[in-house]
Amino acid sequence: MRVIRLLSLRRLRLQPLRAVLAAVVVGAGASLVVSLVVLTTSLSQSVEEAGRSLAGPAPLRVIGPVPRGGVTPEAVSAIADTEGVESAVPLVQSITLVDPGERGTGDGEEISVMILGADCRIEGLVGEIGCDQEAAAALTVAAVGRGLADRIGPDAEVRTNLGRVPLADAVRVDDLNALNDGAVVAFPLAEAQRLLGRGDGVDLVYVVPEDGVAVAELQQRLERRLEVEDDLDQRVLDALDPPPLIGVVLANFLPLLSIISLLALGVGAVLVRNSITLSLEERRRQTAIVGALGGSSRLLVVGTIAEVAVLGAVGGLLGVLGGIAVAEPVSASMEDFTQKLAGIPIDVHAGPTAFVVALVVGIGVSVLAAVGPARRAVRIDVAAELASRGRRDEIAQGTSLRRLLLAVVLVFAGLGLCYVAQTDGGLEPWQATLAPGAFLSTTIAMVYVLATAVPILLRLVERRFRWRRGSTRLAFANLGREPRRTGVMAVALGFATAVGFITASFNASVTEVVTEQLSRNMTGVEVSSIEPDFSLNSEARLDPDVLRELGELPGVDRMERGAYLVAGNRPGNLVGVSAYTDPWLAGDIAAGRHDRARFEAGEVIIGPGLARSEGLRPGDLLTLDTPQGPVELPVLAVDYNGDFGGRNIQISWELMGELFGRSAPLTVIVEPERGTDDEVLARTVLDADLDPALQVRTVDEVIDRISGEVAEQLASFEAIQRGLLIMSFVAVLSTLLLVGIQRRREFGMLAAVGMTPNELRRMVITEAALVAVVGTAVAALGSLVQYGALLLITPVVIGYRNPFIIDPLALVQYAVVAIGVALLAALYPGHRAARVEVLDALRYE
Amino acid sequence: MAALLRFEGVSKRYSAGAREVVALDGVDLTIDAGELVALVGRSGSGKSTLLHLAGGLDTADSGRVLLDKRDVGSLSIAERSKLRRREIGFVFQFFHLIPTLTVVENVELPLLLDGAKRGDRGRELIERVGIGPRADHLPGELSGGELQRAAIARALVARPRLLLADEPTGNLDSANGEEVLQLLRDEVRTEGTALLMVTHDADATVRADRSHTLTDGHIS
Ligand SMILES: Nc1ncnc2c1ncn2[C@@H]1O[C@H](COP(=O)(O)OP(=O)(O)O)[C@@H](O)[C@H]1O
Ligand SMILES: [Mg+2]
Repeated sequence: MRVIRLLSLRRLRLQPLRAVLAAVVVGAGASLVVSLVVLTTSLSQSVEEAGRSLAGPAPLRVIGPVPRGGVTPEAVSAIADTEGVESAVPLVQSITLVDPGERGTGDGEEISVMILGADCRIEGLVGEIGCDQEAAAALTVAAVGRGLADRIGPDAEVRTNLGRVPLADAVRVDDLNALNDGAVVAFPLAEAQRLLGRGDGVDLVYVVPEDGVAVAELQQRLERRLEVEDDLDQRVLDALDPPPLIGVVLANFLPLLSIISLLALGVGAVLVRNSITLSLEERRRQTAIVGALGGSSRLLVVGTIAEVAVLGAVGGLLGVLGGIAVAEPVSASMEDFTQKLAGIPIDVHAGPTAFVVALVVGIGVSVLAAVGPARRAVRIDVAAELASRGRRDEIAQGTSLRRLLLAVVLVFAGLGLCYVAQTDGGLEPWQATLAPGAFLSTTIAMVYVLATAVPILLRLVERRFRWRRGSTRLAFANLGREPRRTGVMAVALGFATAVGFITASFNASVTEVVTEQLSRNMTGVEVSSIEPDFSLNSEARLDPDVLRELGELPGVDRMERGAYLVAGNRPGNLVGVSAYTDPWLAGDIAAGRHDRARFEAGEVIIGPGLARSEGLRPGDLLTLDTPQGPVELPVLAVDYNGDFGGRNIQISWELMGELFGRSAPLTVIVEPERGTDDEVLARTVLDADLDPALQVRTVDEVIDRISGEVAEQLASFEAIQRGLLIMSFVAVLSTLLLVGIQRRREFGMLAAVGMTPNELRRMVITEAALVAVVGTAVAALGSLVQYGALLLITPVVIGYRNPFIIDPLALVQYAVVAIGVALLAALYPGHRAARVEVLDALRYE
Repeated sequence: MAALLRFEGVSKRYSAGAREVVALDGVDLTIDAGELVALVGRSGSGKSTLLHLAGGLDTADSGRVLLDKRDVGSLSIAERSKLRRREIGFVFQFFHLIPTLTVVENVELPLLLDGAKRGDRGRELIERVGIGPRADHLPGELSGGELQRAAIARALVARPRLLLADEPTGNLDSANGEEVLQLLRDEVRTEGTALLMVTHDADATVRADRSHTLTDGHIS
């Protein structure tokens, strides 16, 4: 151990720069993995906290087949009657907006709040509060939490299905402060049911068991009881189980982040391997001397691994910081969903798991990356080394060409698999399994193409043109002779370019589809009193009076409505149901056809996710949970529609009313009479001043709104792209610096035969520039292929089909940024090269 | 004939920790164009230091080093680099070839740095020093004698007027050493280059035009 400390660990102190670099590289790789852990724990902890603050002592909760009023009064009494139940607490729980009013504090912006309905049975959760059942039933006044009370004025209003309700007489109740940071409005249960269109149903029931009753047993008993009582699909959940919709949020973010973090970690591993190889190579003589003196090879391997493990640990800890930094923006964008869908704010938690994962990943990846080089170093020829004639491993040109060909073949094989994954609509379960794997293998093969093609291309470029400048020729020679390192830098830069370009192109493609669909099918203006994005669950609906007045405005022909709701009550069987008074039936069809008559007669159009998971094809019967129990509906067609992860159903307006009743709309489309312009109509609606919160959007503005939503969802990719740029900065910097350390002698020799400091600097920067230019050029080509592969699998993975539309400007822009990053990263290594002390560098040993 | 290289009272001190080492102490020396001068002395007597000052790899603490009446010490680093590239050739004991470049690329390096077109000069010299078949090999594949021949070819490729050789045979066996010395002498005569060579070889001293001895930084 003493020897290991002497030979290996002391190097960390002697070579602080290198140690810091290696640690940073590992840290960068670990960051993304850590961010994944941080995000999942933050989400689940935040959800759990939110659940706990509402559930109090109740360990169980019962929910119905639809989130809005899915639990019937019969079910509530059955629960209360079940043996072992101390109390059953029915609640209406949803989200809406509060307008703070003129004299509210803050910017007067609407406040997103949780809206609750409860009766005296709430004492089962909060303890005795002297609630009088009779008196409470007569009440209609609201209670608000302090978090809200402090921000609103006396003229504040809360939005409901029945329009705005003043909060002037609202009672301030400190018991509500723990929920949603105090942003809560509570109503007596009956009033909440009325205001939010729940009929006599409630959204959920918390169950507190009698003393000494086992929770698991009670859960089973409740399930049996509810099954007997009626055939509604009631479900008894752990009180802290996340609301089913949260699963949709996770499904949106996690797969993507995992893929990217795996790739980033791969690049990190290559960099660690790179730097370990370098440091071992630099140590060849030392190794040889130790060998000649009789040191064992095990000693060297163990020593190297110990050294690397220390670096990996430090890197892992850096990864925690980096991971939190990455998690912050992503969680903010996740919070956008969770708050709008369930009124759950997300706080970033970096629990002990994050530390453990960071350490394991940091140490694990570094050690794994170091094993190969360490074992290779053991096999060096001691005699040759001491005669200072160490040979460098050269990759023969033939070999690298063959590798490139192999990689290209693999890319095409991957593309083939992507193609197979989407044949016949991609509706088979095996196709959904195949698609991500096919895309991932195409990506990996493409990375390999990038790594192998760039050195070869550099050699071609070197030969094709007559380079006059000595420093340029030397730069070429250096890059060509160290293809692996060249490849690593190229991959780092190319990857960042490709992710940026593909994200921008995908955005352009989605925008194009949205624009095309809306301009072809939508007439009139969209009216709402809330930003419609992610507001599916919001109770802040259009006021019935406003709706009536809208229809009576001059120039208005008619109003088209849409209704959206979530049915199902567990993460796996959630479906989004939609219906429109004027269905376009213009979606991209995966199977079946859009027969309007049959659709109106009750057949339904489903998304590809639902078709795949339930094995449904046109002509089959779909089972849908409704407040009246499950119903069977014939499938008319499968559309490429990715809403709810492809688990969606479109039914006729009639059917929607029959099955789920009518609720107030979030948005309506107001269509003009013949001869009235959309713009004029929009003016008319706004000038009528029907509601201060009314938003009116023409077709172009709707296109902008939806494009904005898409861009927002793609924002996390942009964050990742920026992360990758930082990675490539580190990659280029570390590679050039490490190579520079190794080439110090060489720099000395070059200076001795007459190279000026400026030329030395230029040589190093030219190397980076060449790699960046050729690397981004190859990446540009490669990203076109990758984009093609992505578009092949999106109908299967996301559910939407998108056309091959590219954003060439983004390509140029990201390539320029990548080249700039490479040049920036080369500045310091170039500076160091220029400052080399000739005599010091040449002195032997 | 005009003096090509001139040392005027040149001193150089090194401080190694608290201890100060006087490597050169008031050295005067003149070398004319085309002259062949041998420099001998015990290890540590300042021979290498003198060569480094002559080649502008280092600067004197006092006195002047003149190359063609130009004060080498007053030139900028870049100017000194260009001087080495065009007018001075170096041959080191440890060859100092760039391991990533082939022999011919190494030899042509000074021309390359000047942005010259690729010509025949490099290969011609490689043929002349007798390692023609090795031209496209990497240094790692050559023997010590071959490496030093390549280094000599590189030192001469830009037709310098002064060649500085620091124990060029110090790392070679005697047979190889003898051959390399012979070659060096022949080549400087052919090219008309002046040679200042540090050597231990008595024979080499005899065949030089002049020979100087350094003792503790003093020249005689
Ligand atoms: N960079 C340096 N730092 C300290 N001392 C040096 C340095 N270079 C040379 N010396 C010392 O200067 C003296 C002359 O060195 P050198 O010119 O290399 O002698 P020679 O080539 O004759 O063996 C020696 O004592 C040596 O130790
Ligand atoms: Mg010496």
